[in-house]
Amino acid sequence: MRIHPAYIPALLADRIRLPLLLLCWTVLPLLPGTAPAGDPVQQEYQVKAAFLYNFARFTSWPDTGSGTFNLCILGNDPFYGAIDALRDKPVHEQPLTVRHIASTGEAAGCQLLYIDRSMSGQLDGIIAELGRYPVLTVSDIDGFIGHGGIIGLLVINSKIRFEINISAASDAGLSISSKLLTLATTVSTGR
Amino acid sequence: MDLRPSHLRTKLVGASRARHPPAVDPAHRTGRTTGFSRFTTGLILGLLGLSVASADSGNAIATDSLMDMSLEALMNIEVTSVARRPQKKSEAAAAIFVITGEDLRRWGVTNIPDALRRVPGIQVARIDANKWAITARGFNSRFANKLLVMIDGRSIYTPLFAGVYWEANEVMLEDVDRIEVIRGPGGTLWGANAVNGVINIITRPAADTQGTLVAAGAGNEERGTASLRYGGTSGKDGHYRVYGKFRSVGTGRAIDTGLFPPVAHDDSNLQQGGFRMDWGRHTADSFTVQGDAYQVNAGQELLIASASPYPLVEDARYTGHNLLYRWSHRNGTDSDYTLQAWYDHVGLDSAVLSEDRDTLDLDFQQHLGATGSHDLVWGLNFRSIHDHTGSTPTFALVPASRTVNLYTGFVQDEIALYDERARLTLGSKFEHNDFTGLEVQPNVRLAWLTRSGATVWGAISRAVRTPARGEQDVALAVIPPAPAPPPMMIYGNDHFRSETLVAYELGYRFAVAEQVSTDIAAFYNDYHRLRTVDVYTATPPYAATFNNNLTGHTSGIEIDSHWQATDRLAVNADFTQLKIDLDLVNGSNDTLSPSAENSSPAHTANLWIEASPGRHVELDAGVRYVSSIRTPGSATDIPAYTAFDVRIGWKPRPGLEFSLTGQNLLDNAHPEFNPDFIYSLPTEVQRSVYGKVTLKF
Repeated sequence: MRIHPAYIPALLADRIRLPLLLLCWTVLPLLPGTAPAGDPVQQEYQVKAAFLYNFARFTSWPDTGSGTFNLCILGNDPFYGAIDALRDKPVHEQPLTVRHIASTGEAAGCQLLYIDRSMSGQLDGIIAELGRYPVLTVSDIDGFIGHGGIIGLLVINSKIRFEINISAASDAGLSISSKLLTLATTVSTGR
Repeated sequence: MDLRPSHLRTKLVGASRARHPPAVDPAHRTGRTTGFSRFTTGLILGLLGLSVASADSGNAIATDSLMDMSLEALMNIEVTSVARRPQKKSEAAAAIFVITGEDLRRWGVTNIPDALRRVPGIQVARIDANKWAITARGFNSRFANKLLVMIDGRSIYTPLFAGVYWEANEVMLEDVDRIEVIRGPGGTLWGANAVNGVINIITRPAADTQGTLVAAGAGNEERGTASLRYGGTSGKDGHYRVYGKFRSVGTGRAIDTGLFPPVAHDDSNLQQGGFRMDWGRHTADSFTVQGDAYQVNAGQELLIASASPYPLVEDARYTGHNLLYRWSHRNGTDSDYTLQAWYDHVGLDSAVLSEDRDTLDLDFQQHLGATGSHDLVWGLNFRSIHDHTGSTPTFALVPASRTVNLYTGFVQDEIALYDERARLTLGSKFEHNDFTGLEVQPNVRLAWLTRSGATVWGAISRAVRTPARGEQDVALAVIPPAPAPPPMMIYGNDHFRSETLVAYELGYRFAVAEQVSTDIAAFYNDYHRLRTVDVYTATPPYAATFNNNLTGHTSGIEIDSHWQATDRLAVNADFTQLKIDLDLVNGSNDTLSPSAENSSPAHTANLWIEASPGRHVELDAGVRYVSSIRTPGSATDIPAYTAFDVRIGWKPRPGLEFSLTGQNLLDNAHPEFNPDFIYSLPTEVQRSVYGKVTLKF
């Protein structure tokens, strides 16, 4: 049986004084938590998460990888739980895993790297460090593809749009399906 | 301004030197709250011993259906972007500096104090190879008592003297997400002792430290370090990590006093291990359990009252363990509450001082979120500290064992004015302690955002430094350093009162171009009832007691600037000026305490670069200047010094890193500080070179 985290302190508390034990039992109950479904900001990133899934499906990687499809998030996680819906979804016949990483050094093994806006100050360094590794970079940082990123997310008239830097994709050895290229707002060929 | 302890809010976006452009802070998005009634219900159910089944997060369910939609359909969904302006570090109404985990790696530091050397307004000096004097905005001492230091929300200052045993409080640097440093009283929301500043060391969530990390290093001063960490998952939504760390540090260079052979005995070694588990990273309820255990042997040579003319040579032994539990509940994205409990044990065994201390801390904070233009936070805290001390001929506490309770409440409202161009923060902390009763610490802060994107801020705050147990209960035999007058006994005073501060602060942050940002903070601190050591016997043997007979003010300016010159080169500079004026009152005959005027450098400056000359090569170099000081009781100055540090890193492939670091390269050795109250022999800081390899897989 898996122990619910709410009870861990009590189980760990055998070395701790009785008051803490009592307090943990009495004031650390588990509460039902349901975030309001209609939160507008979550919705934006819920939709963006769905876009990530589609980007993964409509891109081909040079080798099939390690048995899992690794989607990594660099910087703050803006998805606020929405990305969890992607876990274990099949991508190229591999289950999708989600990893949160803090630096590009941990990006080894990532097929898709989402770069949060919080990293925009270091963007050029990140792109340079990834070099020609077969990593599909996606971000909603302004001007992302102009900095060498592969897919940039935009919000235009309250709808999500995306643009693709096709030469960055081919430098990375990735092949992006014509379906994505057709739907993209812009397909750029330069840095 | 949201200055709650960091674990209770999302991170200060736009890290140090404001080098990142605005990012969205989820805690400040629109939303409404229903949290309190749910909390009450939960509390009642909890009291009844019931538990309520967890519901899956609603947004994850909603997302599931999105995943089945075609790309064309997704492109037709309307989304609403963030309405509320995000909170940025660059807009905060306080003097904030953030050291990121990446900074720690690139600076090549092996401990927290060395990292703090680059923070403007923080004075860092090494006493010997394991002891430090660290403070904010003056009053430096090994027992500096006006700085609050926390690791993941757990306070690490010792209530014995209200300072920090820096030699015993280490973290695994690879796990540090960031270190937030706030100079000044910092706001309503911090715990006791946040008088001149707050340092909050925040480790990364377990989800961000997955996989295996092995790091090992060796050098002439940093004799050997080894770190091992493993992170994995538990169940659907849980992550954990376990780590172990070993560190051995060599001696500094002994200072020849002419009284006995100069042989340094200040080497130290540390073994530490710990874990962290997180659940529900993305759901409404999230849980964290973390703990550490450590043992440190730190050598010292003590001048204590004894028959021998030679110092007593020993290894002080610190042991400790702690356990922290935190439960956070988020309602939507704009309101939340957090319940946290931690327990901490510290043991110290040395020839002067032995103590065992247990601390239990319970904390509840609720962020009610935006209601109109108001953003309200309130909280309650209870802390109970129980100690048991041993007595030696040099040091005793009477009573030897004591329990001290601290009750704190706070409330703060942040009000958006003028179309959110201005933010007014009003708040107060109410703290009840066993020594001085109720202490009220209000503050008012205002931040104004100019149309050009600059921030002007100002604050007026009252803060108190409540008495430490030692100031109430100690009997301490002091031998000042040579030429040694006869020993003096210092006795605690039941009537010792809180030290008070009213701080006036002003700040200005601006960007000259997109690549250059500058942060200027100025302050004027007005202190009353500062501690004095008053001698009340006319002839030897001298006896003294603690009183509140010192008054004074400090003023200073702190500037830091960041220039992203190119993609591959960043230049940082900071400068600190500090002036302290202290005056004895009530006819006090204390000669030591007023000399704190000179124990902190009047000027410090840092200049450092972070360069990436090649795709896999990093070069970091820094030079720092610290002006001369004179520590209390010393006859001579500690001269000004300039130090140069450099690190070269090579990352041949992701997950593998080699580095070579040189520290204090400009001289063979230099002194930085002298101890007070407990006179251990200081040593000089020597040139240091070490190499390190880090492997992640």
